[in-house]
Amino acid sequence: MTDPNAAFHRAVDEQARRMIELARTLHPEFEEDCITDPDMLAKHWRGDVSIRFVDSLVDSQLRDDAYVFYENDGEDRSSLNDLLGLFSPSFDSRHVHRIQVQYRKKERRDERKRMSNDRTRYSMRRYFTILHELGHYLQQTDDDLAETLMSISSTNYNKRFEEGACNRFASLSLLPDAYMRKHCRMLRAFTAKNVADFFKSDQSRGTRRVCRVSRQAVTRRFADFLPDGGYTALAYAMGDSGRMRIVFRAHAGGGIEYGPACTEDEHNLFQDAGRVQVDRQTKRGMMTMSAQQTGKGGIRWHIIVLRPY
Amino acid sequence: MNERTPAQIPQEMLDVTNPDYRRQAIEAGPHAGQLWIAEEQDRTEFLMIVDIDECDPRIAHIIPMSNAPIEQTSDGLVIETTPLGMPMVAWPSLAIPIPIRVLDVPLGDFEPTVVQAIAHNEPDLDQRVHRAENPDDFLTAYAQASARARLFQHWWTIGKHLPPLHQEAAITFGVSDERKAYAQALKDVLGLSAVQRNAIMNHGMRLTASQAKKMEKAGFASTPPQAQEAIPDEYLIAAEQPRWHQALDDMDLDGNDVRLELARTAAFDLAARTSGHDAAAVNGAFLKAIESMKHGQ
Repeated sequence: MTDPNAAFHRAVDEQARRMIELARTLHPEFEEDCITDPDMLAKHWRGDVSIRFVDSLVDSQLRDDAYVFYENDGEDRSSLNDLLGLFSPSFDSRHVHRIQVQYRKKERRDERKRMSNDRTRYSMRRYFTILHELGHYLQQTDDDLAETLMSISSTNYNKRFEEGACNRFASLSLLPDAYMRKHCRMLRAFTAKNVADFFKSDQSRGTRRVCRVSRQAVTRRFADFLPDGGYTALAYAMGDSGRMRIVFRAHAGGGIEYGPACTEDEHNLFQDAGRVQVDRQTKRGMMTMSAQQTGKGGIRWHIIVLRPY
Repeated sequence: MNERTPAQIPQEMLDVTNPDYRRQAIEAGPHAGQLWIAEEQDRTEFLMIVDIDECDPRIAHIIPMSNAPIEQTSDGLVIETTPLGMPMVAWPSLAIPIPIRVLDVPLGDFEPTVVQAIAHNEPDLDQRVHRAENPDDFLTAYAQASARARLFQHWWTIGKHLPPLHQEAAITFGVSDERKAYAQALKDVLGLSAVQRNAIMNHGMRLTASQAKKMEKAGFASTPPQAQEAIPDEYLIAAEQPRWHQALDDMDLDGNDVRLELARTAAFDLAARTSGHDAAAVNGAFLKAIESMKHGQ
């Protein structure tokens, strides 16, 4: 099946990779910061953009001609009333470009607890948000990247393109190709268990990797290494109802479906799921579902991988 | 005049006129089996929703109703068990699809078996649904029923003229040479930075008079070539929801395009952009859009 948006996904990926090149050129330590300690980004990019962590994001004091980007991480039930990141460009030399990333109450509490520790480990989504906002900064201030944004022929795709490139940039920065290849020997033929194990092991990969990446971001990233027609998906069990909800399906070509209905194969696999990985031969390929992983709030997560024959 | 004490008002009516119920029901949106008051330009009618249209969720298939049994005609049904706790009349023969934008006040749910009886126009004595009769003054009653039918037909016409869905299908990803050339001119002619150019090209920032003059001299218009625009379905559908009825009324904006304008503002014109994908993100954008439209008045 041909993806009608294949050209769009390719263009988003190209833009994100150009953003990474630019980030490396501007700050040679960028890649290392992303892998080891993204909190260094605020320090190293100080001359370009002010990155601050704030209690709340308020736009009421912005100048009339300012425009801002509110982000949520696309992973929670968030809205404009639950803002997580914000990029405010500066239009003249009197002002600076600003990125603000919002704390959540729990993060503030956790941080206070860690004040006496040597290392601080921030939440996974915070790193993604910083990089997503940095993506806006790069796209809007670099001549070449901005030219791509300005040339897009429709408003619909313009918005989607910029957001998509920011997400892709964050994903490729936190989980670069080389890092994935180094730490995932199974990339040629991975299953849902491998994705779940990678997420788990990445959380405790020693002191050097302070950065952590969310289950959502890891699941999406693995879709890049599947052949055409394959997908990864993240799902969770809906209480004790015996049903599950798919958060998203990330396709090998770059497309993503949010909140799609469960297919029959996915549903059947879920009925067998439990403490070990389960698999099933389907018409489209081999489908695997990871053992359940219990996350925050007791949510029981499953990762699904469809590898086409 | 005898004043009714609260004890005489049916409990069902107290329940469905409770502000908390109303808020929750409006936020949840209309669904099958609900009783509503529809309102448009100060004309109101009771109705029961049989179903929300499968292909276009902005349309509800409804059956007109009345809370005045005296208005019954023999082609109607009298319903004894209603969400208001008082008998009502339904006219299944006047069933019609109307836009959900006219739904104003939710008034609770009928029992599913009662919904079935009304929808199929079949009396069901077990459910206390029986055939209506013509009143003594049946000419007046038919005149009222006829006026009611005309109003619902008027609403049906509004539904027929809603902006089409699936507009996005006509848009493909691509580059516009015209827009590219204009963006380049903003750099070459006016010496604007990337961030300034992007604000003009994609975020509605306007050129100053002197900038516009310079661009005109160089052979360019004062505004960039229009980008293609197709309001996504989720915004067109969200704009029709009854939850915005009050806010749009309060704004006192006339014209059929208010909701279209709301959808467009939420989708494209907000300074704030969200990267969320769920209904909460769309609703958040609508709240911001209403705020922005109010300030723009």
